Amino acid sequence: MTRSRKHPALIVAGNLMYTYRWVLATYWLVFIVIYVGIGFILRMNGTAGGDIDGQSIWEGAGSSPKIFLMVVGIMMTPLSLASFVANGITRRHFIGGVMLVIAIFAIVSSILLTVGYPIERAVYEMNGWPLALKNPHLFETTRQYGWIFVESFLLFFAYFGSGWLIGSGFYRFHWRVAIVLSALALLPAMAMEVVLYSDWMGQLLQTAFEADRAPMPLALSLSVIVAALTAALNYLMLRHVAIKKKLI
Amino acid sequence: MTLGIEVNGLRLDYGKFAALRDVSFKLQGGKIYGLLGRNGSGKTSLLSILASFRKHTGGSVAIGGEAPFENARIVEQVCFIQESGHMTDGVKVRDALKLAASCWPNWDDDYADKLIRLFNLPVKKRVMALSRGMKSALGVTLGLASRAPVTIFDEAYLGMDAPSRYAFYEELLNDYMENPRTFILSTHLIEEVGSLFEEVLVLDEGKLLFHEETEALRSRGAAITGPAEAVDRIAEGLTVLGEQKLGRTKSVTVFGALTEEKRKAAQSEGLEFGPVSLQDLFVHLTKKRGDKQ
Repeated sequence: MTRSRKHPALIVAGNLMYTYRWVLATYWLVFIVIYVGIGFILRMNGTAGGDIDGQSIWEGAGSSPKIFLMVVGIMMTPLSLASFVANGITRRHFIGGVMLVIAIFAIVSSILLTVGYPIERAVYEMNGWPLALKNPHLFETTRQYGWIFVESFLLFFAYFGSGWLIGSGFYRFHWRVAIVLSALALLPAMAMEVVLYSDWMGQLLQTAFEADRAPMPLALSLSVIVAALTAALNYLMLRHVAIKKKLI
Repeated sequence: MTLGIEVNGLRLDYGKFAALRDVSFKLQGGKIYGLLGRNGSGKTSLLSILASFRKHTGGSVAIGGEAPFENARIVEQVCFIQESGHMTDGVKVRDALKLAASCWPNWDDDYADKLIRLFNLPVKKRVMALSRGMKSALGVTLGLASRAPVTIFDEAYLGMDAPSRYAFYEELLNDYMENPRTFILSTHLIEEVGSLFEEVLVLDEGKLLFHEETEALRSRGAAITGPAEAVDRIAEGLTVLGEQKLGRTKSVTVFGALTEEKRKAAQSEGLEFGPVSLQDLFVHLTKKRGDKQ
């Protein structure tokens, strides 16, 4: 008897979330413990010197999750596409499911990053330490949680998407071609850094391209375009791809 | 629910190499088909196209009247199980079963549990930790419990030991009787599985050599044994697939319809007629020139 089942893209998203649940949880646990520990030692011992004094430690916390999500993105297609197609899921629905996973992982990671700011501020205030942001952001103070969330979400989404493009490139093409494409696949992440001017990389890239920081509405529009392009490029690469037995 | 399959002028190229050339056939729904062919004959390529694992280069494929590639309505009805499988190595067996249960619309949990017990599948182990036989057992469990209207096994049971393979054949037949669907079995173990096939397709060098009912194909071959001169007289004009000689006694395997006249003549000369097994027919029909020397 035929049962009603969820939409295939939701099946993909649900199964990927289930598969990666402990990876995500363990990463964030280890990351928070290490980051808080480093911040605590720097503050208590004053080993950082004048450069770090008065600066938000948590502000620099976004770099590691970006790379982590990029690595998870690289694994998406090579490790999962074949098993979903072998279970009667189309490539199109796989892509839709992965997009959902990217969005959900980016949301969860952005919430955790956003929550870190008020906690850090409370610790600074308790100890009477001054607190300031070093880099330009969509937000100007650590109290603008909405903008902190939006900026983190867009960056995490773009890095995850870039990783996904790299993995799809290796699945679709010969490794020599894939290596060349990997450099191009980094474009969404780099473009988002330039648009958002989020940290040293964004600053460096804006200086390199002699680009000015985009006004907020334009920055947000460009971010959405970058996210859509990531999905479209993956779709173009995977829509006719032959399923391989084992890549890794 | 059963689905028929229609393939017309199918072609698949890997660069300059043509893996499939002008393959055409029509499979009625609700039968067990055997797909036979030597290594590199194009069996897996053909099955990969039916299962939408690969897009064909030319010709057309229709399952249930629709093109299957990236067609969600069709791909959820076609389960393709290969020996090495496409399960993620890092997941546990129970998670592989959970994924299958969430994907296949006709998945039968109770039947899956029964098969898990039958094959002693360790559900808490990771797929990568399973032996080759256990991976095969997991594959056939997924295929059978999917109850997909088109279920394809491509050498999926090769790694299993003999008792497990026979248990699989029995299960397949029982489940087919209770839940008719289209099965396609690709195998090199023709002696073992041959009795299950209702129709046989033989591929050779990317071309479809035969598509016939199994019994009709078998009846087209015969082994004639007796004195060498008499055997040669009867075999004259027939397609001789193979011959063996011991002293003055000779045995030839012929292919093609034997006329009543020839049959009577053979009997009057005291020659013996014997059936030819599907495997022998397959071996003779797909022999290459190099093999015969």
